[in-house]
Amino acid sequence: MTPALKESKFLQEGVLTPEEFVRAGDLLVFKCPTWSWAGGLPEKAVPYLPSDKQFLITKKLPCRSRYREEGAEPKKGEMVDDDWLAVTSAIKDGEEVIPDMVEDKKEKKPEVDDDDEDIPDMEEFDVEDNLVENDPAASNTVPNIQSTRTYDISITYDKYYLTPKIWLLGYAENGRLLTPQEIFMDISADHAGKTVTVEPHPHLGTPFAYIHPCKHASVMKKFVGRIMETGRTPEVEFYLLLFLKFIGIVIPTIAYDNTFEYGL
Amino acid sequence: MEGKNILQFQSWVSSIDSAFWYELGRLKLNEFKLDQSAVPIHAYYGTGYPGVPTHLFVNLDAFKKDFKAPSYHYKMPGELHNTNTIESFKTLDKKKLSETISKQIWEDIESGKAIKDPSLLNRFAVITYVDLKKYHYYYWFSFPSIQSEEPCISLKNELLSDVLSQSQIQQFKNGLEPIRDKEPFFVLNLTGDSVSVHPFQEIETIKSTAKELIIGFMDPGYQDGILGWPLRNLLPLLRKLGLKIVKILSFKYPPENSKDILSRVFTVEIGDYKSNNGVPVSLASWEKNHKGELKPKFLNLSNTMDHKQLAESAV
Repeated sequence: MTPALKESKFLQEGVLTPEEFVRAGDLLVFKCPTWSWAGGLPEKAVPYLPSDKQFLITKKLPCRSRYREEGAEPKKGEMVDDDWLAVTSAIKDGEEVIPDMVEDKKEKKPEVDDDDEDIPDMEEFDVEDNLVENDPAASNTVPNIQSTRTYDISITYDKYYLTPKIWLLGYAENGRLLTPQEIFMDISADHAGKTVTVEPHPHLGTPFAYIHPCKHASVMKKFVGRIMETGRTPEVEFYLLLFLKFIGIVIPTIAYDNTFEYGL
Repeated sequence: MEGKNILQFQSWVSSIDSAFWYELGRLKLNEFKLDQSAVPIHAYYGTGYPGVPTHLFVNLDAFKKDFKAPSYHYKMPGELHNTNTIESFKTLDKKKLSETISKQIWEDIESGKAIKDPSLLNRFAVITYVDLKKYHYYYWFSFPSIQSEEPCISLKNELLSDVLSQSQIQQFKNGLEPIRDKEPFFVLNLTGDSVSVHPFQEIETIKSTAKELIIGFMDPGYQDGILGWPLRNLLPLLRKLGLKIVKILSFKYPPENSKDILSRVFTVEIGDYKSNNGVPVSLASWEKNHKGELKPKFLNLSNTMDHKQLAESAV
């Protein structure tokens, strides 16, 4: 077991202590109230984080289009940050061997039968007459959500890489959980399958897809460096807000809170 | 926006974490066993963002007795009826179940208990059937509401910034801060140019002295002019307190750096409510499924819960 990092190395190395992770999480929740702290399963709690602040989560974010279907390959230097591209090309060069789910080419055809997924044993479940109500004051219009995928995004603290780790849980239009292959449709071509893996969430126990954190610190370090070139010293509380900017490049079509501007 | 419109409420869309189902399965095996009695649970919600639908969330902590909603979120008490077979799920007397809850809500309004704890106004029921061998989950929510004889009317719908001055908005924000995580409902007391914010529990005292008041609520609605469901059962309580035409603040947290104040003030004319020997006129509002049908929701978690399958797909 590596001991938890005690001294701040944010400016030098782009990493976080557990205590800094909590401070950065507090600011994220304050700035973007759709994010919340959670405790998760008590038996999975880690001692170096408060019991009610084990991880962050934001739920049911709409994802209206498939990145892959859009077919818009990111152009270098345009919408994608140079540093991030540098990072991915490093990964491509085989600098890091990352556990990979798609690598084995056992890619099963996604079972997309959403509309036909009849509820077993429910065929004869006719609408009960006595439950039908006329309610002029109820608005059932739910524009888009019923026809859009949604995602839960969670952030945990990775004790090995000393960085946040991003987890995704995708839902199909009918509420069914997405398969990893389907989730990869929403992840930029540069990252799907290369840096994204499925594993049980460390505090919930149910499977989520995660973005491998091996390059997070170096990306953050470069970002810190760029801010310091402008004569400012970024405060560690802003870590997650800055970090989510980068994550936006990996999951470009998920509409998570991204309203904060650091003013680069 | 002017005009006499029926006050519209956004129906809930429930969202249950898969970790909740795991926990329910564990409790069924170890504690409930064949017992089908109602189990108290909690759901929670946040305020709406434009274009981003607000769900009613149920998470892993739902069974906790000391349930606490996350910051900027508000709890709703409910009861879970877990049935042992698909047949008992189907035949459970749903109408009776929702009527029992409506009656409880009405009693809490009549007794004043709901003033002390307004979250009681939003009691809900959820019926479930879990097939633990197949990891199949059936569930159906009911969000009962007390119905007025005549619909409640929206007389006016204004931006908060048109109702309060900049200095008053600042006073309101400062006043809201200490209670913001605790109270889904609150009261604004307007005297001259000053505004004070109070927990809803103080409504009776404030009402007797205030010249002008606005009732605020944390609004999960996300569409213009359509209010969040939690207000629905507050209206009969306000009517019971003698309020007929009342200003309602639909409060939503603005996105950071947003110049717009999304919060709006509705002037509402509350209808009259009647009960028959303590049984109110009510609606069960069973949730519709993703196809808009009045049917239970269904979730198949076999590909995530079944460890054998999981092991195979993770090769």
